[in-house]
Amino acid sequence: MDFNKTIIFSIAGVIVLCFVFGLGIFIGTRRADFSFRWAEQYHQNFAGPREGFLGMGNMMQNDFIDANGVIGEVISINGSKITIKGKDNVEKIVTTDEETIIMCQRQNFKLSELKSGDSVVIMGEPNNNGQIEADFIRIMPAPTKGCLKNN
Amino acid sequence: MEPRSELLSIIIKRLHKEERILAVRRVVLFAIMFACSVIGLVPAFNMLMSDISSSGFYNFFSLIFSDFSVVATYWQNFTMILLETLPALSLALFLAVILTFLQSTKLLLKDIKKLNIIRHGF
Repeated sequence: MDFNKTIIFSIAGVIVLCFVFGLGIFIGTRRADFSFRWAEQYHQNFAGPREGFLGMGNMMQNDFIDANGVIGEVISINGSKITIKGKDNVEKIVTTDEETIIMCQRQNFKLSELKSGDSVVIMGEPNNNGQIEADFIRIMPAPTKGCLKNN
Repeated sequence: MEPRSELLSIIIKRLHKEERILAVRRVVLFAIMFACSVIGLVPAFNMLMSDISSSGFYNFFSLIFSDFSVVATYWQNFTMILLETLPALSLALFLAVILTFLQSTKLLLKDIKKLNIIRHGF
């Protein structure tokens, strides 16, 4: 009876291990793919050297970039594209469309009301240009100022 | 040839002594494991908290409470970003320390009880 239990638990353990391993490979591949596209498209997206503006030359040596979201500060807004300086000091281009939801506390914002310096949490999907197509942008209000719209 | 009459009691005494030595060794071993896990708990917890904060996992996870309907709509992207930012190594380390702590506590108490029974008979 104990022997059977051991075999069943061993098989279950191997299945869980394989699942976690597969999941790790899947996530890692997505991040690696996004990081590769981000690096490949860097000149086109940011019009400058990778080591340039924010001094992030060794970014790629540290880790891969998160592909499905970013947390950071808005650097600039150009049309429907937002440039974000992430927590890891990596610049990311986030694209928006009319379906992108932008919120601060309980208020809905428009893209034009977003301003440089806003802290944001963005969730979205990576595209082939090393950018994130945003589904949702949450603006984190400044502790004392609350949600201020750009006039 | 007949064995000595006190042989049985000598064997029993010897067995008890061996059992006691074994129990003492186990108590010492598990006490060391317990102490190490208690010492390791704080840095492992701090490391986990620091990784959760720096990876952004906390910020993304908190969207469940603030924007549940959005998270439900875009659950696939939400799941992906949670998995991407999950600090797997520090979480595994923390859980391993917790497991060691719980197991060593359980075995230590069991062996202390056993040692008391051997020594005092209760």
